[in-house]
Amino acid sequence: MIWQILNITFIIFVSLWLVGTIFVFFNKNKIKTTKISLILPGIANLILLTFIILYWIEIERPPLKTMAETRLWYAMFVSLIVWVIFIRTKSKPLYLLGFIMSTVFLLVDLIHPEYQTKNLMPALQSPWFIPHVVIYMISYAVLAAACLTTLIGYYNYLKSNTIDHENLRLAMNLVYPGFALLTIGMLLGAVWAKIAWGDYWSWDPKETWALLTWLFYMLCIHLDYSFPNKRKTLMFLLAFSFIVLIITWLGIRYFPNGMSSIHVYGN
Amino acid sequence: MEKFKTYSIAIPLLLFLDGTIMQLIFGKFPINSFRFPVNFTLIFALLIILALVFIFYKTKTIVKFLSSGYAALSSILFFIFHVIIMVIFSQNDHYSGFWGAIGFHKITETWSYAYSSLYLLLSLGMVSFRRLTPFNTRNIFFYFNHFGLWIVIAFASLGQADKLKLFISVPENDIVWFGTDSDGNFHEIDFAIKLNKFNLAFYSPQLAILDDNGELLKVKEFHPVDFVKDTEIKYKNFNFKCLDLYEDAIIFKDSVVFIDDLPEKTWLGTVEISNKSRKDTVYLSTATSFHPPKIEKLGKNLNLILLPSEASYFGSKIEIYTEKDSKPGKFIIEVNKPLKLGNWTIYQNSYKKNPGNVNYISIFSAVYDPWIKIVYVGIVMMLIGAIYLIFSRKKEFKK
Ligand code: HEM
Repeated sequence: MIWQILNITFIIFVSLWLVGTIFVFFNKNKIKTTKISLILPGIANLILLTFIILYWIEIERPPLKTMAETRLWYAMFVSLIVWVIFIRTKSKPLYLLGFIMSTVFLLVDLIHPEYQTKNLMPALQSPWFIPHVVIYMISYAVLAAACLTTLIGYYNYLKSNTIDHENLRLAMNLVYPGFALLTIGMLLGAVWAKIAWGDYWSWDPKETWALLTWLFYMLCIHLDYSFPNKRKTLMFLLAFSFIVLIITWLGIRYFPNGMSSIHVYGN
Repeated sequence: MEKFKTYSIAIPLLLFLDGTIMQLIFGKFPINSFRFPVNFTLIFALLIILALVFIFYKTKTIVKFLSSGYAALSSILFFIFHVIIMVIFSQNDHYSGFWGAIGFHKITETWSYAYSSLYLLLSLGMVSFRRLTPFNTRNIFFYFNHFGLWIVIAFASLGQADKLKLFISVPENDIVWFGTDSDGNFHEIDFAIKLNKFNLAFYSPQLAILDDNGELLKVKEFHPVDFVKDTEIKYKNFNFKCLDLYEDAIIFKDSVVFIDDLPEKTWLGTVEISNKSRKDTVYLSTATSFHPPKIEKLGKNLNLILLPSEASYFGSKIEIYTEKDSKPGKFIIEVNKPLKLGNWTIYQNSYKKNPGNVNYISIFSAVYDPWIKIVYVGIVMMLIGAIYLIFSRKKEFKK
């Protein structure tokens, strides 16, 4: 079983990123540093992607059904997005935080492998399934990068007591596409639900939380646009919105209404 | 701007207060009195009023406020307030007491929620009018996002007054022309469904280990595996190898007996078990309502079993009789593949066993939702707007 080589994949992935990180932070030769710190994680991301594809082929269904499987995609997208942002902005802390975040998600997968089966219930056998979940995962990863960026900004704020506008701009540049993808994922989900069950919206707990996440990011966008001097509020709102997102994805089963959701992953 | 700030706080508070008083006096919001043509007229009137107010009071506070960032944040936050109630309080009608009386256990049916939707519509509508000019790329996509959402909110909330969803249970070889709504009321429908055949297919069952309380072991110790020939699994010092799998068979006096027309799917699998002291082949079979499972007890908290298999497919071969057509039409309805029939869309919902019978009962849902096309227009507008939003900020990246 491919899942059994996740540990090896993990070790290679982490090692490559680690070497990249060391080069980013400790080497003085700028040009060579940048190259190595881009190439190695690039390879790491490719290896993780290859793992997902091989696993997909083996189980003969898209690996998007269980929590463990969505974490795999998430780790891949976070590291990919942080890698792309690094190419454009050379933000070192984000590089490190993104790497840590993917590592944590992969580690959780190693500790909680969950239940791997080829079975896919009829409701999920639909061409809408892959775009709906993949777009959500990409969006979650982009918004994670936005949140990490904000945390770096907040750290700078605590240190120097001035607001790092450049940093918040980068965060908002991530929130726009992240929010847009959230919108698309949600709307595709609604159309799919209509086709599968006849209701595009049923106020199921997972849907309600997803709506809440969407609304909070909507607040961020409007606060940023209409009240450009409320930077501190925006920073808190960005961090808080990501907490709501994480609850939507991982945490609703711990809320009173959560377990009745038809969307709770796995068994 | 101080004024706007005051409005943005006062309006939600007043709306909530008024909504709650209405809730206490009249009970839940009477969405059902908004059936066609009331809903359509209202939405139309709302648009006209927004347009007129916009045209004639362009420079007045009302237009300025409703299309401002203050109103946006205030209306979104007021809506968020209701959604938060929804995740905190369990949402079902039957609660009484204080929270039940003010509608917190069914927030989408409260006056306050209805006011909140109206507030969103006013703010969204006004800003959509304001951004109609100047006519440029940015404003067009702004319009797609905001007016698309306007359409979705307006037609989804008021349109639901006309929506009807009926569950229709049809046993095999039977014909049914009525359904029940979610409150259990009977409705006659203008077509009849005859179920010719209900088709079901299954994944192969899974091999699992139960402890002595009948619970699955934790995933980390042993996770169930699909029963596929020659799969080998190790657990503690045992080695299990899946051999043959038989469908619709039971074990009878040590031999495999195949039976047609069993009332439920049954599986029989042979597994080779080996460790230091033994090596033998055992039969396992899934449990059904008419016979117990065959499990293999290997030690304390170690019972090898076959889990009942999950459905991989279900669908119905049906005939539809309508008053118009003399000949019935033949169709297949599957999960994710509904059938459109005039104003109705018919979905494969679920199925159950017909008690004491080898047949199945197929459960369909028929949905009448006349406003769905307009809601889709709104959804498509929002999709277009969102695609633009993905790329719109890219250029501002700093080198
Ligand atoms: C509840 C609903 C909403 C309300 C009341 C609302 C209202 C507003 C208002 C008043 C503005 C400021 C416009 C201006 O000053 O010209 C604005 C800006 C904006 N809104 Fe919304 N909005 C809502 C929902 C949305 C949604 C669903 C999206 C995206 C899918 C969105 C995306 C934006 C964007 C991107 C801007 C910045 C304007 C620009 O870039 O030109 N809004 N909104």
